[in-house]
Amino acid sequence: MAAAPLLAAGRTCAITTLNPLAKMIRLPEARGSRLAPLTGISADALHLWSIPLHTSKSQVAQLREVLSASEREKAESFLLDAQTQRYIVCRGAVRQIVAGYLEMAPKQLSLVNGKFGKPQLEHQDSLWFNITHSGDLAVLAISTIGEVGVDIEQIRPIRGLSRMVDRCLAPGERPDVLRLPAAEKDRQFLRYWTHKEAYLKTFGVGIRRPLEKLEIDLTAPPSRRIMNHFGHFPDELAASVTEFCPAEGFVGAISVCGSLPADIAAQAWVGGRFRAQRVG
Amino acid sequence: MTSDKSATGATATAEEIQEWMVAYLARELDTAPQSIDVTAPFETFALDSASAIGMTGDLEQWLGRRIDPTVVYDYPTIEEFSEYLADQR
Repeated sequence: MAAAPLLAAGRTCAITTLNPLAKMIRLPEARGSRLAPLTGISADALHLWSIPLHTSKSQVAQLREVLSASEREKAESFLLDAQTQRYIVCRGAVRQIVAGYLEMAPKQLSLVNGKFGKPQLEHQDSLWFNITHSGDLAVLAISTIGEVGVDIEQIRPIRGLSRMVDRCLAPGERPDVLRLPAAEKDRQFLRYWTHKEAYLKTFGVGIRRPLEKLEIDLTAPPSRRIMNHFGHFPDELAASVTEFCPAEGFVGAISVCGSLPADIAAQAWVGGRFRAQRVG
Repeated sequence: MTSDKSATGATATAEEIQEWMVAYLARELDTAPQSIDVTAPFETFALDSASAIGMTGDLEQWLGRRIDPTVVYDYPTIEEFSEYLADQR
């Protein structure tokens, strides 16, 4: 049984993020039949949606209907059925949610892949999104500020942790993981990991770059968390990065090209029935 | 760490590297090794990036040398990646 959710299911919440020491943003738990109203989005806004990927076969079938032909083809290419289902639910939910903001039908959305595979909206320069998943949970970030990157990781034992620390963390970051008792090392490593991946996903480059050359200060304010970007200070590619709690047992980070808004709205999506409940 | 002669896979052939990766992925995905297609793109295994980096790390330890993690994008199947790694010896 997961810990009690901080927020009632289906409620939209806004939590101040300007102060990095302020209470961590927590995504509401998606459960029950009360659904989040789909709200409009103003300029300079950032919304986070949690999307549970485990759902019924009939809902998977419904969501499959909103996918494009190439998405359906990709869904069928996965080796395991569980991966096919997760992909369909994730893409279907993204289409439903993003289409809601644009007041379009989910199927009409034109999603294209960037140079390194980042999905993005075609012909759209005022709304950006990014998606991440780990285990049975996905998170979608929607931004009107600029390009956005998000990453979540389920906290789990990292195999070969000391090698992963050497490979992925800058020399200055390593002691911050290695000094911790064994039980806390995995989580701390994953905090650095999600910050790095969210930051790189903002620019659509994923982890093709050497992660140990990217240095993060987890205690700095969002606009100064990226200390070093592959030998350049991050003046040219200024992004703000902060943490959030996607669910109990997960860590997450979100990065946006520009400044983070004072509030990040966090909402939960509940499979399939979302459009019928639209009240915004 | 450019080379470590004590690593058990230091002299592995392309076939042996391929077998190692098939066994590794089957274990990771909790499936039968026979179901792993060595000519299928890595993305069909839906490994998240942390698992992908973890696999490269374990492979490095077995082979006893450093692997540039980005080459997997240039050799996107088990077959091609194994051949590339064997040629790098």
